[in-house]
Amino acid sequence: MTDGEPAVPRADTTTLPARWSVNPPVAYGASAAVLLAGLALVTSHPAFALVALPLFIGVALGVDRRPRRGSPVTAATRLSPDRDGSGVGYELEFGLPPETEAVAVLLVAADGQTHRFAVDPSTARRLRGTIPITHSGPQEVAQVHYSLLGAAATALSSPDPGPSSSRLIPAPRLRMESLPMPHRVVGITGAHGSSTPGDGGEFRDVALFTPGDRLRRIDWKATARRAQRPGELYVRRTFSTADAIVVLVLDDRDEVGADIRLWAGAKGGENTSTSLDLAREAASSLAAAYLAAGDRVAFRDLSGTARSVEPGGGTRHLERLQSTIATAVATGEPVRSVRTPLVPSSSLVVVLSTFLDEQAATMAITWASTGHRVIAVDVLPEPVTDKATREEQTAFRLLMLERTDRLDGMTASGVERIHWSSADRGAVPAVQLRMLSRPARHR
Amino acid sequence: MSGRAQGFPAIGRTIPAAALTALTILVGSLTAWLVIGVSGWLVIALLLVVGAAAVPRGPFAAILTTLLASALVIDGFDGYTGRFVLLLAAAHLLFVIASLSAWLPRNARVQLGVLRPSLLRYLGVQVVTQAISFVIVTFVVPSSGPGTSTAFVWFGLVGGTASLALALVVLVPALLRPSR
Repeated sequence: MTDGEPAVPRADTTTLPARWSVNPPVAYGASAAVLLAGLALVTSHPAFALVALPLFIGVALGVDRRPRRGSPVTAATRLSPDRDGSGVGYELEFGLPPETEAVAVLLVAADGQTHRFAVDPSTARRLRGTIPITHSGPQEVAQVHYSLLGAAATALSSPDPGPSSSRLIPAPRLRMESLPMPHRVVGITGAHGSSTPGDGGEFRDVALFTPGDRLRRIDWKATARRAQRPGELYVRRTFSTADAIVVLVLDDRDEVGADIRLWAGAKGGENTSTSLDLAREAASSLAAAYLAAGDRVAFRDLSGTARSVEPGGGTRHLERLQSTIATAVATGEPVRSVRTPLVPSSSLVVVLSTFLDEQAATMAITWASTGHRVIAVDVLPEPVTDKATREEQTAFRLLMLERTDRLDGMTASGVERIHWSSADRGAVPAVQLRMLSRPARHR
Repeated sequence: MSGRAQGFPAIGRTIPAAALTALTILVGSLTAWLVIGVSGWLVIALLLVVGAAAVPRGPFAAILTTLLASALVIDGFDGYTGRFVLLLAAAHLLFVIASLSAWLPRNARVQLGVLRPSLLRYLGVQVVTQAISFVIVTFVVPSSGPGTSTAFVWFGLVGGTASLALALVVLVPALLRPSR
């Protein structure tokens, strides 16, 4: 492959022998034809035999075209990445026995839709479509089952599982420019001004020249104004610049959607973004924005499904973070006791959680009390309660009361809070972050 | 494609599998009404039509065919008439539709190309069957004239024996071993 050619996506393939059986209506039709022939014989009436004739011919046509026993069927799925946000493209290819007349396909897509269709063999050689992706993270994008019709529609194959294609779908990223900073920046270089003397930052003071000061720092105007003796020189001193350390703490112990009826773990697909989708989107967007600003970003998750990423910067670190964030999945039952992750000193801690239980809130308060600036990103989707029963609505209200108390407690402890919602609902996260990035007013 | 859900592959023009179910009901009901007429047997025939549409894998279409053929003969077979032509065409069509419906998933979209081989086979078999029936019923076994009953009986015996022999030689092995 040359550099200019696009990479061919890898194919998920299955090869299974077709398990043929007689089409049931054909068996019954043949029985009826035999019965009619018997009636013609017994009653000596040719009408019975003539009615049976097309049924006999129909079955006899299939006899000559019987498929070979165990003839293999190959099914392959290729997925192409979602480049324009329209969804993941797929190509479904079938390698069929020559006796096949048609293929029935059941395609379960990542968006929960089940597509059933029947196509002729020439079309089945290559089927193309695009599956819209609602959720990020690891997921089964397309799962295929198929059945064949052959031998002039007198034989059919038992449904067989085709390939199941899973992919890691990266979270979308929102663009953000104004970002909140930690209380102190302690790095040795970066884009932010620090309180440490050094180069690159804002003006600090004018002082006497000492050995080690660079000559270009001599402030000739100040020297002319202030010098008492010959040879006395004054230099302009500045603060150094520094980078911030941002720790993203993702609470991936549970995943809830907008429909509160499914919060108890009921079966059913979510067609809108779940809390973990929003959390991944927020973490991914924040990581990209902070790294673009020259800061160092670390990542921790609370369920332990994704590995921890230590603070770092640069493009490769962003790729590492994106792939790690995408692998964070809910583990089913929320873990009761979670060890508070270690965070570097003077870092900005961003906790992304639904705050439906105490764990993440307690950690946020702990970090805030130890001097970190903590931002709680509330990723609970806008709840939909229309279809819930009265009992479910009551339970939901109680849960929300507890949650509100918890959020108020966090605010009282100095934890700042934003709500991350999907693009079409609520306040835009970038605006909320800009509000937090303004200098704090000291009381 | 506009009315189709996102994620559906581009397979050209399709019809819903339910159209075949509707065709079963239409063809079955119309044939039962024209062949049987208004009687108690019509109710049974209509129930069989509903059964054939609801459970295409069941024996209902085959039983319906036998019932309609019996009704035609009992009611008085009067040669190559419209009723007989309709019965020949409808019994075969019900068989073809049931063969497809038994295999197709419910709620499936069916590419028109899938129906083409079955339709062509149906037309071919019908042309042959109708021609043979016309020749036999009109020329070999005329409905009136001297020696009618003897020829009728002989043809019934020969036709029945030939059909059973065909069934034994060809159909039974095929049904027992659907693959080679």
